[in-house]
Order: sequence, then C-alpha cells, then structure tokens
Amino acid sequence: MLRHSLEYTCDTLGIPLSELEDTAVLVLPENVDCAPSPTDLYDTADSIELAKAFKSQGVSCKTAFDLKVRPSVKDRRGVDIWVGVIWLVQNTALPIALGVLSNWLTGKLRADGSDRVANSPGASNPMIHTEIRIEDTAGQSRIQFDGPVAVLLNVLAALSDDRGPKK
Amino acid sequence: MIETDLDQLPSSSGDLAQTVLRWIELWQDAMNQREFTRAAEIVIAAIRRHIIGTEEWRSLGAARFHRDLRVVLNGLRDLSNLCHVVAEDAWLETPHMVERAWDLLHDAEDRLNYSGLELEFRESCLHLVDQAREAIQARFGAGLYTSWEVAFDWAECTVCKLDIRACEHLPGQWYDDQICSIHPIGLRPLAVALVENPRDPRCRIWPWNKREKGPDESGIIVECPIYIIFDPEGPEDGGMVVDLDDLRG
Repeated sequence: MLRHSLEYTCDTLGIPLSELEDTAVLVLPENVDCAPSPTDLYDTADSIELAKAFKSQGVSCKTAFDLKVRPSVKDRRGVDIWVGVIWLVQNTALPIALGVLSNWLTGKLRADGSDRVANSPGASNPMIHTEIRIEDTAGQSRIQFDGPVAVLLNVLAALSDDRGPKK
Repeated sequence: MIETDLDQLPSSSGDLAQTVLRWIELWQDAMNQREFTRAAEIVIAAIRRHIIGTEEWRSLGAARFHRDLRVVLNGLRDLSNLCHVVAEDAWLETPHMVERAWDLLHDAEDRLNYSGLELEFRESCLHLVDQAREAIQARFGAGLYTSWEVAFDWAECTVCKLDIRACEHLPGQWYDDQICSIHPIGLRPLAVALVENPRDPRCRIWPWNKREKGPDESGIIVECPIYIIFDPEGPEDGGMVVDLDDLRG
C-alpha cells in the first residue's frame, strides 16, 4: 500500500475503506502518516474549526473523530495556522470544497471573535501549515504547504480556475 | 454610538442602561481632563453596577449586549489605567511600568475590538493604545515572545458540553444567550518555543527578565510568562486602579 493512499490511511486509523463512502473531504491529523498508533494522533483547534466550516456549508466532511478514532487536541500559541491533512476525496466536490477553504482562510486573516491577534507582529501575514491531497481520475496530487496564508489563497484560486467548469 | 444599542433594550431595563451611559459620559469627562485615576474609578463603579444589574437584565434578554457592554467597560478601565501609567515621566525607564503598560494596552485593545457594540469613541481610544505601543516598540523593539504548545484530551463545547468535534456549534458564534468556545479538558503542556509572532503578545520576554545558566551551560530565561488566561469579561469586582507605587518598587 502506498503511504499516502486512502487504503493506507484507513489501515492506520483502523477503519474499513467503505467508511469513506459518500465522503467528499477528510480533515485528518497532521501526523496521520507517522503516528505509531491511533492513540498518538492529534487534531488541532484550527483543523476542528475547518472541519466544522466544511460541514456547515453542506460539504460531506469527516474527521478522524467522525471515524470513531479519538485523537487528542494540540494547541500551539502562535499566530500560525495548523490544519493537518485536507484530503479532497471526491473530485465532484472540489469547487465547493476549495471555495469553503478559501473563505475560511480569508476569515482567519480578519482575526475576529475571541481569538483576536490583529496587532500581534506577524498577524497581518500568518503562516499556514497543511498538506492538501486531491484525488481524481488521474491519481493523487499532493501539496505540502508551509507558507503565508495569502500565498495559499492564490494557489487555491489557481486550482479552482484549473479544475472548475470550463467556459 | 452606544445610545443606539441601549435603545434596543427592553424599556424596563432603561434605568440601568441610562445609568451606565451616564457613567460613560463621566468617564469621558475625566479622561478629557486627564484625571485618569478618577476615570478608572468611575468605570470600575460602572462595572460593579452593571454586574449587579446583569441578572435583572438577563431576564429581559439581550444577553449578548450585556456581555459586550461588560467587555467594553473593562476595556475603558484598562485604557484609564494605561493612561495613568504612561502619564508618568519616567515610565519607560521603569521595568514594571513598561510591563504593566504593555499588558494593559493589549487588554484594552482586545476588549474594545472584541465588543460587537458600535462605539463612536473607539478610534480615539485605540489611538491612545497605539501611542503607548509605539513608545514601547521604539525603545525596546518588536520583541521576542514565549509560545507554548499544549495537548488536551478533548475539547468541550461551552454550549452543549459535548466534545466540540461531535456537535454542530461553531466557535465564536452565539446560541441564544451563550457563545460557543472550546474548553480544553485534560491539559498537558508539551513545549515552549521562542517566537517573533506570538498569538498572545502579553507573553513577552523583556531585556530585564533574568538569565541563568543551566547545569549543562544552556541558557535559561526565568520569570517570564508562558501562558496568560485572558477573560474579556474581567474580574467580578470590576478590577482596580493601578498603584504606581507598586510598579516603582
């Protein structure tokens, strides 16, 4: 089994692949590929928020928690955003999933609500750490991204243009 | 404009609302006259009055308004105290005053920005905050900060008390009279990093924080905060006026 395949990940999580039927997006712990066991997995506050954003927008999204695994939660007190693995499993859901992800990131840049960091020195240009995996008929594409949110937003816009409906 | 929001309250809470409004006007007068201690005392009294009145107000609805109002009042107290500290001639030469001003400016800023209330005087308040920050950064630079990493067993939703991953509530959103947020259960500190871009700027390492050598000759910085619990609603007693004598010591 390939390390980054759905089969490998399901095996790591101890769930059958059939559990992912009808799932459009997976938001998984950043250590899903390297944790010695499911008990060593951890979500982040950001990944929890992102999964909720997908669900609230009607995207069929599952997390390790939804798949009956119980990761602990890790919180890093920096302005960077850590969202683990975002796995776009269904090609048909790609446009809306990319849109939700972009909107969520744009909202994070505004730094509102209880988590105001607007005047933290690096707050205007926070970094994001994530891996985006996209499944389609041609196979899997992976983007390991550790860089400014603004740059990832440009990448997502280009992806949307590339994979969206052609005029 | 705070009157606009007060107009939305049920009429039977009007007396309390008008009382708080009058206190804010008094606070503005004191600030304009640079009587910062009196300004802080006025707003502390207003917070206490508001806390007493909140139960009555809660029964009338508009819980979010009351929370926001309490946050704003705490922000005004922080701002009064900040002005009180930086009005001292030698405050930038006094480490405890610099530390206190740094904390107060972030407290004031977070609270005044946090509130959903429209305040016509918000910008002038934030200008005072910016002036203090610029003075500190001009003297001590952008700074280095501690940033801790923690793990917790699970994250409770403050609305439904379930694991936040199992419910439909969204952090930062209001549900009736409750705001959804993540409450960590089973907290375990994992590491502390030194960063330039912290989530909480209050965790700043100052030049005067003591340095010591560890047994293996490694450097150790002591007496600097690694985590600060910040409650926008502030303490139940309304807080206090900063005692400059304490900070001089």
